[in-house]
Amino acid sequence: MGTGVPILGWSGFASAGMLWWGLAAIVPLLIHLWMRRRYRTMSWAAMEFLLAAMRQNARKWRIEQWLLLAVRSLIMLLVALAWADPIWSRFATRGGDSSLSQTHYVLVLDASYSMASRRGKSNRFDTARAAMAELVRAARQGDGFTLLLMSQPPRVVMGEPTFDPEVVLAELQAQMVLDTGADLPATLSEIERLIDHVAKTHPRIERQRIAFFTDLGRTTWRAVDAPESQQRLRRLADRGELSLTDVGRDEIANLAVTRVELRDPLAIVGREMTVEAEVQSFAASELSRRVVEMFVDGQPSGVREIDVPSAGRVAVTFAPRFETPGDHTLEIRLKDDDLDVDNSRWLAVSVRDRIRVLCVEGRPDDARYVALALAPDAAVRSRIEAEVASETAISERDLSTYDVIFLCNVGRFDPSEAAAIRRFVLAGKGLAVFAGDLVQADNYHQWLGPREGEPAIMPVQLGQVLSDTGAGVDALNYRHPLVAPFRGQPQSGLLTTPVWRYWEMTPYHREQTRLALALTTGAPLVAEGRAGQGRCLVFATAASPESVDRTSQPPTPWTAFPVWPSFVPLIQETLHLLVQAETASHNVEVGQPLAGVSTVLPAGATLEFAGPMSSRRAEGEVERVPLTEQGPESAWTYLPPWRSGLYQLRATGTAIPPQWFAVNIATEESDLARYDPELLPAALKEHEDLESVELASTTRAARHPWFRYILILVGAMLLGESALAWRLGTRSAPAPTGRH
Amino acid sequence: METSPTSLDPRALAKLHGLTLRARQIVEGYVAGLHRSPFRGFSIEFAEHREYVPGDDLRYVDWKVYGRTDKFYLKQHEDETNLICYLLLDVSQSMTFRGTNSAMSKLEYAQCLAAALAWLVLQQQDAVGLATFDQQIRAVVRPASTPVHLQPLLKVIESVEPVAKTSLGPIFHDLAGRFSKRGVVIILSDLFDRAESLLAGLRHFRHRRHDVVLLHVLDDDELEFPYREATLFQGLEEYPELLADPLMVRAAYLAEFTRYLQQVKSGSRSAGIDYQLLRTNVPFDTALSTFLSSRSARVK
Repeated sequence: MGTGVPILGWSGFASAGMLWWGLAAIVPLLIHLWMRRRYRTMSWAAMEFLLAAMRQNARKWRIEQWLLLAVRSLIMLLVALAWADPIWSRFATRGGDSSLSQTHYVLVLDASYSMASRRGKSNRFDTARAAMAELVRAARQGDGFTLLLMSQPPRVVMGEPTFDPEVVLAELQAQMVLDTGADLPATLSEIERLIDHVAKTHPRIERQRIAFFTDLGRTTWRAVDAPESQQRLRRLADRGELSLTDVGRDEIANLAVTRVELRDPLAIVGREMTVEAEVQSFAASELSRRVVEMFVDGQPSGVREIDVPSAGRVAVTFAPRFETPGDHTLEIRLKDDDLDVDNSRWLAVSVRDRIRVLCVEGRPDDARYVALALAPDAAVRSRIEAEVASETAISERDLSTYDVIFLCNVGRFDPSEAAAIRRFVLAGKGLAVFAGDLVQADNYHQWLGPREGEPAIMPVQLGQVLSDTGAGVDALNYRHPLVAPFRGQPQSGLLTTPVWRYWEMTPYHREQTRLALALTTGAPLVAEGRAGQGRCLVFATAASPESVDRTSQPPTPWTAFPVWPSFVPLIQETLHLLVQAETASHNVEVGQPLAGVSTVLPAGATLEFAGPMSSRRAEGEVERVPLTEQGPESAWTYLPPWRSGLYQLRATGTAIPPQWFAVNIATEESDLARYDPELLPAALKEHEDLESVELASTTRAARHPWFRYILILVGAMLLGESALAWRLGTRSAPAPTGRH
Repeated sequence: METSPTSLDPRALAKLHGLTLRARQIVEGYVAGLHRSPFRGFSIEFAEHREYVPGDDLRYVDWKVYGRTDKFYLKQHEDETNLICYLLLDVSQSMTFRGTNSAMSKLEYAQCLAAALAWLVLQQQDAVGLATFDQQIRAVVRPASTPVHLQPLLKVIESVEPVAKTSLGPIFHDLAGRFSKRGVVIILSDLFDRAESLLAGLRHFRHRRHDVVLLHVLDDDELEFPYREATLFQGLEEYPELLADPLMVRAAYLAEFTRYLQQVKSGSRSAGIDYQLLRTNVPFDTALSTFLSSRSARVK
């Protein structure tokens, strides 16, 4: 702590421009000189007496006149000084250091959505903003400010120091809570970067102060325990003063809708669907009779009343029915609690009247088992149309009319066929590849692998054909949604599926490839990856017994998979997964971009995104998004503003129907549990009261209203001037009467 | 409320052109007001009785005769009707000053007063003479008591041309030597000269046993100094000009002027001289009555 003596130092003026009014101080002199030129002339008989009076008093009168002039000029100067609002700072110095250097304030405002928790009419964010404004107003003239929002990722609002408090306050007022969490490590990194930048660009600024204004949400602040965060904080503490203002001391019982999903794998017109929502409690006690509503396309379509146990979860189901094909929206909404943002969750659903699947076979019957597995149920058969065709269908048919394509042991592709498949997948459709004995790996790599300027369609590269007679199937803990339904179902035979020959698969980008199944030897069996808006699943073995090993005698099939009990459900799950690819691309979290491809509109055309919308807000803000060229297609990318809700993509002036997108929050931040302030690093102890903070090396201005004292002095001087002028002008002896 | 000017008001008289006309107005107005003659003989030797007529001073009634005869008779003294009045009129340039609200300059006022006094003296068949002066004697009219003597007097009074500065002391000394016969010396002047020199001259008159009346004619502005705007004062009588703020100099000027007035007044009093301060806005009947009261006090 500082050991210096409090001293008073002049810090500047709040409105230095007003000092120009000080030039008015010469006005009394000018008036005096002007008045001396304005006089009347008269003949005077009693001149002797006048001259005698002047001789005796000229010096005294001159002094009085100058005094009066000086008082009048001083009044004008003091008025200008008062208008300029001088600032004298009161500060404690470290070890007698009386430096008056500037301070750089890094203002860090927690903008995660937990800050929207309400208590009465205001919320934590308003409280934090008000406290930050207080700090700004209390700073000295000449101090600089940068502003950073704690969010995910952190946002730099003012990256260059601003020295005008009014600008900072205006910028602060414009900030809003974002529908995201907060990334503490990234925030600390950004703070370091800001300090480094300001140190380079403003070397005069010697002092740094980093002020956090946050509700100390545990989901954000538990990251302070990480060694890297601790090191960063230590470095920041060495470079400046850290402070933290806690605005989240109040206990708030929060409920959140944490999940909404369509339980039915396929959304079909006219069929009652099952929508399951999950409501999670972050409250310390049970919350009973909470109302949950469902809205379909903005219209109320269902209500449930639930009791949610303390820190528990409750599943709520609804059964909507969609009567028309196309994009629809679902909203599940909780009745209001003290944190609104997590009370709603949306789902954009693409409803079809049927699912069209094209099964392309490299050889007759290579796709027969797949086609049969796609429509085993008579009731579903009318909705899933599986067509089997030869390779020529790829280039002969309009693939955009299909929802999913199965390539069953297709040997090779020519450029036009490859282009058609690429367009199909990149537009958001699903592709399943069964690699049998006819597959030419080099050709697949050439046309379906990564190309210059274009992403890979297949997530894996096919290597050589391998044989393994004793290997079983490893479900990899059923992590992948393709095999998750098989968990606890040993009779499905998934793990005993015989596979004797298979292709070696190597992911193109390991982090973008998910393995759904593998062999017990570790070799990948089923790999999944995204390509553009679409999805591709690659099976390392054949889909029919027609693929045989001709090196053995007699020739043996590669696999018994097509006739194994696991085949039909696995093909069904493959279809569901691939159909949902398009749906998945329409449902993202806040901060994730939306992207798409248009096969109809050319590059240069413009689309419109309107949103966010909800059951409470029918209209949203409109933003225009251009289409850019991406290979043979036109593509668009849009990053929604960090607001959850429904967004509609429109191609105004065309017949293209609008598409819906749902942007939901990541609900981790809904847990309003606090990080224990006692566990914070010593350098980041909370400040209870800004006024009582003892700062080691920073100064803090006492914004005393000095201008008031100056104005009082001006008032006194005005009275004095009037009295002086009257006194000088009315000194007189009674007129002589000449009476005896 | 402003009263309408009387015939003896300087404002009313200022509208009359010609000293004769003004003087007549004063005299007739003054006499019509039954004012007593300001002039009385001052011999103490009894000469004869004459019968009392209304208006005579009751102080001269011989009560012993009344006791014997039940009739009123006045005592008349020797030389009572041999009054010689010397009018000394200051015609220096300073007398030309006229204040902002004054109807007449000091000189015009003094001229009217001198003319009226001459008329009154001649009316009671006493002799009156005149001398005009500034830094030297400009004109002298020997005393005479005939009615026709009035015209040359008025002519001299009227025809003054004030161009020079004042020098009272030496003039008074000079005139005191010239006036051979004892009489009443009435001085009409603003007395703008050194007080010591002036009083010395006046005492010379007293030494020659003249009865001296000092009518100090001043303008209101000189007495009040009422100015507020910055003014370039251009001195009459060759004084330098002075630019001054009247509000600042007023108190000091009045102090100087008052001190001077006190000096003149006390010096006159101690020399046995009748001193009267006359403002140029004072009506003439008031001015003459004032003079009368001072004369009466002297004659007792």
